[in-house]
Amino acid sequence: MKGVLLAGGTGSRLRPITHTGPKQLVPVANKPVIQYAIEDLREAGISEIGVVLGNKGREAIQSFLGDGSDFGVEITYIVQGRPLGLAHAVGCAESFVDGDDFVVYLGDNMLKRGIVDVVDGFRTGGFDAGIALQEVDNPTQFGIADVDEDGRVTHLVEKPDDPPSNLALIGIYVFTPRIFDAIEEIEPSWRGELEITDAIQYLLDDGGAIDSQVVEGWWKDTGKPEDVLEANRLVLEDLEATRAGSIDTDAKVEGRVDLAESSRIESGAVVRGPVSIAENTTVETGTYVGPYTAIGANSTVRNAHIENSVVVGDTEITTSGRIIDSLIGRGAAIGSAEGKLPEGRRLVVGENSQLEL
Amino acid sequence: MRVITLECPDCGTVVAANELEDNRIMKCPGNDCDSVLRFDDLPEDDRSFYLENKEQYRL
Repeated sequence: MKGVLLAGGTGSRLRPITHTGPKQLVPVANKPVIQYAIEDLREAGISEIGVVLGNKGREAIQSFLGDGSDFGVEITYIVQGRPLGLAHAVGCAESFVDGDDFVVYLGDNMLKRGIVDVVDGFRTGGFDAGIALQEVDNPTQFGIADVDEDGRVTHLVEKPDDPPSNLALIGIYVFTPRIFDAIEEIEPSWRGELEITDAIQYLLDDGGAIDSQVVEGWWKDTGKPEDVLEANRLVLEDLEATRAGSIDTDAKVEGRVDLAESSRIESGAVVRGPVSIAENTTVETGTYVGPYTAIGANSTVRNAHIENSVVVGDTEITTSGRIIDSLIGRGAAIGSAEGKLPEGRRLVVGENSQLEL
Repeated sequence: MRVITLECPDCGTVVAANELEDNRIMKCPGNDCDSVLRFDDLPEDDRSFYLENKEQYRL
């Protein structure tokens, strides 16, 4: 079985972070989102992975993943170009898949328990496709599956006004090569995209058997800043802390704190986990780093109060103000205006930024 | 809808027809691959189909 990892999209809901990089490389607990997907595929026994790229951030993703050997997999790149829909993206992978069954994984999704159950469920049943589902509170906002008592899918509907169930498609699919015949038969939707739900529905209408697996544990689409913070919180919740870095005697470090070997927590700083601190980062005196914070590499935090936040990296934070629930992009500098006249906040803010002052 | 792609003969990187047609001639986007890929490398049937149905491949 092979893997097809979809890593296109514009990341418009994550601007301005995605003005300078693809959404799949936004870190959650100091690890790019796409790496979680690679690890899930590998855990499911899949080592040949086709990564489908759009036009946004292509080089950055290729630079990060390389040939896959750093992650124990073998990667082939598939350039989709224009975002013509998920089914088009899957269709582009046909020559890579080369007759095998394959898993499709959206590269900005995260699952607590990975995809082993979904893949195993598919393997046991002789199905034409398998889809991962999760119960949601707002089914009118999702693609929804209607399933029978055996878990077989009977119908799919996109963002229904009258949902037949609360089981949402979460962007993990297992396909046989039959899906390529279905993709060839469908036409672009009203929004001009070739929809994967239409292709699956075609399989159903053609007598195909579609398995479903209801995924236990959390699932996150990291498309928006609040989703990144929530995913960061969920991953840090299970953080295995290794305090490899140096902690000064008079620093106060409580709970699970993952501190990279080259990083330091200085005297007079307070760090309360779960917290992740990446390489070459210093938490200086007078700083409080509170729960559910991830601070990226090559950063300095001095005299600041920060909690429930993601700092991407290469960042200097020296404000005495409290920073909470924030996503701070690479290379940002947040200083102090204390003592400066006229009093006020001094901002250089990129397009599409969101601030609450 | 017919999805048309070209596979780099040297590294296996796959490129969609819309990308090839936009560039006409392009360096293979595979990591460390020096091959040159052309829209004209597609089979005649694929090229004709793409050009006759070009609007389908635009958003």
